[in-house]
Amino acid sequence: MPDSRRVESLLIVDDERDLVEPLLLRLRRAGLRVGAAYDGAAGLRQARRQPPDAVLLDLSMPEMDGWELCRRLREDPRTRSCRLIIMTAWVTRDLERRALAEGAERLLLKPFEDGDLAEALGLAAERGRPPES
Amino acid sequence: MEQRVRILLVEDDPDYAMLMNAYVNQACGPSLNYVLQNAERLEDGLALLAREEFDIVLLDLLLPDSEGLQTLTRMREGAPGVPVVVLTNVDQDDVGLEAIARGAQDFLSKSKIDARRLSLAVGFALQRDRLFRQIEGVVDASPDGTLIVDRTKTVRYANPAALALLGGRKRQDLVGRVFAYELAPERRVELKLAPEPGREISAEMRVAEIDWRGAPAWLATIRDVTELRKLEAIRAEVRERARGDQLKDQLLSTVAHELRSPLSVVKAVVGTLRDRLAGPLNEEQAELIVSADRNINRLTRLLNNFLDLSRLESRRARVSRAPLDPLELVREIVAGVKMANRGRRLTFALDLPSGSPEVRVDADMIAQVLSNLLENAVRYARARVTVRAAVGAEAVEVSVVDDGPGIPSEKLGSLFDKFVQLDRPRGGAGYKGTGLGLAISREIMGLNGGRIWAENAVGRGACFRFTMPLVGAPDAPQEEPRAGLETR
Repeated sequence: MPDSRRVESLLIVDDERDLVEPLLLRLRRAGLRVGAAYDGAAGLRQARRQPPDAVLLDLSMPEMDGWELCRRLREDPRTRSCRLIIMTAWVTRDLERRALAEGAERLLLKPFEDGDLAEALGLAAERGRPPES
Repeated sequence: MEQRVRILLVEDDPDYAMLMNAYVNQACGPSLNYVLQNAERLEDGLALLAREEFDIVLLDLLLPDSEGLQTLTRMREGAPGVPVVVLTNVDQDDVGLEAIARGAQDFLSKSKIDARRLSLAVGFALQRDRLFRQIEGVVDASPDGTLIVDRTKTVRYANPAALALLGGRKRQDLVGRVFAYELAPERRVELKLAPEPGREISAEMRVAEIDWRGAPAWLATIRDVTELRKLEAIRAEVRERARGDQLKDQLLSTVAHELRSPLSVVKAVVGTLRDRLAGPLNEEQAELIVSADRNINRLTRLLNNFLDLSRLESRRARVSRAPLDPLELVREIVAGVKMANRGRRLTFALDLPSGSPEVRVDADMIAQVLSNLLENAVRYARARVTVRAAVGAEAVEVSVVDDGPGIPSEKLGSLFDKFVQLDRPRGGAGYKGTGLGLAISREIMGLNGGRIWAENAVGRGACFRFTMPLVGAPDAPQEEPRAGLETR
């Protein structure tokens, strides 16, 4: 695990609202403060206004794509220390290498396991286990 | 050694013929001997030339049956191989020069001839003729067809290669006839030629403007490019295929993306329900949701395998083969699978030789093959999975053996084809394969210079074996060479 620090606040940036909804539900239940934006530019504005511990972002988005968003977040002193987790449905060569080079600490290939997301956010203890039954 | 020069004098004035005879005799020396014969008319001269060999013709232009430069032209056409020196009258230098332009080797002014001048002119003409023949010999020997075509589009000269290309047997089949193709200087023209019935060739013609015997003409060079064009066609096909593969890859990437996005939504939604994040579930609902989740995972695996296989089959998968210890790899992978199956009562037996052989393979790819074989074995085994390795002269062979029901003999032949699956043991639930794992494994082993096959273990159970070439040993020959062109 690259970082065992537990994430307290998270911003999800993805134009796929249908995916963002269940993620919001799950992560809020896990006790995180989670916000959402539905394109890259809105994500950047929101992150600058209220810098989160981590940004979970998609790569192909309108307005500003995920790579550009990564670069802008890295450039800005307010958001420089945000942990970046990329999620994408595009599988291309050298994707992982490029993600690391752009400053992301983790790449999640859609569809991903809830456990992998939890682990990426330092919520590993809850991995795969329902909170109540 | 004495050199004998046979001269034909075509001259109707007997006095002048006598004079010339005297000069010729005078010019003879110890090592040089001239022999002169006289013809009074052009037709007589040509008849003589047809019967006897002459080295040179001395030609008067004014004869009873022919006049002027026309005489020279007729002589050249009637006896094209014999050099001609034209005899002119006083103050006819311009006629002499014109004669040279039309193919005479030299001219002599009748009133100025003496023995020495005659001897020099003959010697010079013979030298010039020899030189011309030498050049002609070079052109004749050229493998490219060479033709000279005059402005009336009549062929004036053709070398043997031109005859062979255009389907003539002797020069007269071309020379003197109209050239059939368009003559375009400074442009390559592609010709389709049929030198003999049933044999078609591609040829490329280039044309230059030249001066031929005092008149503008075309020099056409024709080259057989049949083999070249075939090569080019093959190259184009290879490019076309590579482009096709690229398009297929792009299409697959796009399709995969389009499938993955909604799949990730469904998976997240189902996961939310499964984990009771959206409210409590009764037992029946929980079971259904677990089934949905399992099948989403199966769909994802299928998608990934399908992409893997397409990439492997189009030979666009990146293979990085490097020396590695296969026994180390086997230990590592088996340990991982053992760990993942620790809940089941299964014995994993390792039977490996000592030492550390080195094979040249892509570690990730071999790990994928071995994991796949082990997963299969775990699914079918009753109590025991055995992994063996043996070091041969050229390769290391690894076998994965289970004690399950074995492979029905009718399935042995097709097991490595796509979407071939055996009946699952023990009920319908549990892990479902995609039917692509063995097809992927076979492609991978082919790219890594190895082989993979299946057999039934002695006693019971299935046995899968694969080989990896040792460092320095050749790759295993591939059983099924791909149809068509191999691009590397």
